[in-house]
Amino acid sequence: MDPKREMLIRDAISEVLEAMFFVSVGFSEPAHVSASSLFCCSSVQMCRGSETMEIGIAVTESFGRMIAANFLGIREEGVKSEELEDVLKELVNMAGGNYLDRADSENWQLEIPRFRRFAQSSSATLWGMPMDVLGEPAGLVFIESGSFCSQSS
Amino acid sequence: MPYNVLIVDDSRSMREVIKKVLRLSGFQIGDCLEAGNGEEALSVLANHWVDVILSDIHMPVMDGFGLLQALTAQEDLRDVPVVLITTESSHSRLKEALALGARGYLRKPFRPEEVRALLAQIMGETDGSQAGNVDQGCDF
Repeated sequence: MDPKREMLIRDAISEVLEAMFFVSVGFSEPAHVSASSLFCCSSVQMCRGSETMEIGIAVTESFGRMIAANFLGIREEGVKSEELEDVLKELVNMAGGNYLDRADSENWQLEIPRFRRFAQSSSATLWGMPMDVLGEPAGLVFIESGSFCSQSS
Repeated sequence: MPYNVLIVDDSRSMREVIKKVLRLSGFQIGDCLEAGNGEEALSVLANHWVDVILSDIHMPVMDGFGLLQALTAQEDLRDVPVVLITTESSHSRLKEALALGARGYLRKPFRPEEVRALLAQIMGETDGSQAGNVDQGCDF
């Protein structure tokens, strides 16, 4: 992962999570993370002519429910599946827009966010910056050229 | 006096959050109506009067730009203020939105005090001592 992009996406996600989801996360150096330890992933493609980038956020179930509950102002146990999906798509949508603003990039178009669930038996690994909340694994953030979430596990 | 608001966003979660933020901002809200895209918004507006519209840009069926154009084309709706609440980062696109008639914009993520300040400016509740152009957005 490009170090400058790393820094920008880290800052973008931190701001979005703090402002709208009321949570602060820490980031570790890029690493491989097993998809089986993660619950779901939302990603958004950004396009400028023939160039594409994709930003994605994969989360554990507990972190996903927590931020969905915070966002909606409801109890964690009350978060429905469709709400979790909607919220995570909004998260990555806002993170993408915030990233583009920080990168001062004109003419990039955000596409419609995508969402996928991971199977507990998944053997796939994801490469990105692990996130944690006070040392507790929360998920992973990635940014790369081309499309990621369309890859099969 | 309370203002009737129409929130236009394809994300139901975001519409809920905007409603909450409006309440937290202290802005006086009467009826808070919702629509999932520009076309739905026009259907709502055919039957309900609102004082201000808060709209996303990127939506299926009819996006924020389409909504702005449709509102401008209708004599009874063209003066209803539209504030865009958006992830759009392109300055040229945001200028285009203002040229189409948007009164201002807020970038997501946003805070209640920023919503209140922009709506107060646009709805004319300031005491006149605040500087600023209602066509400027809040960036953060």
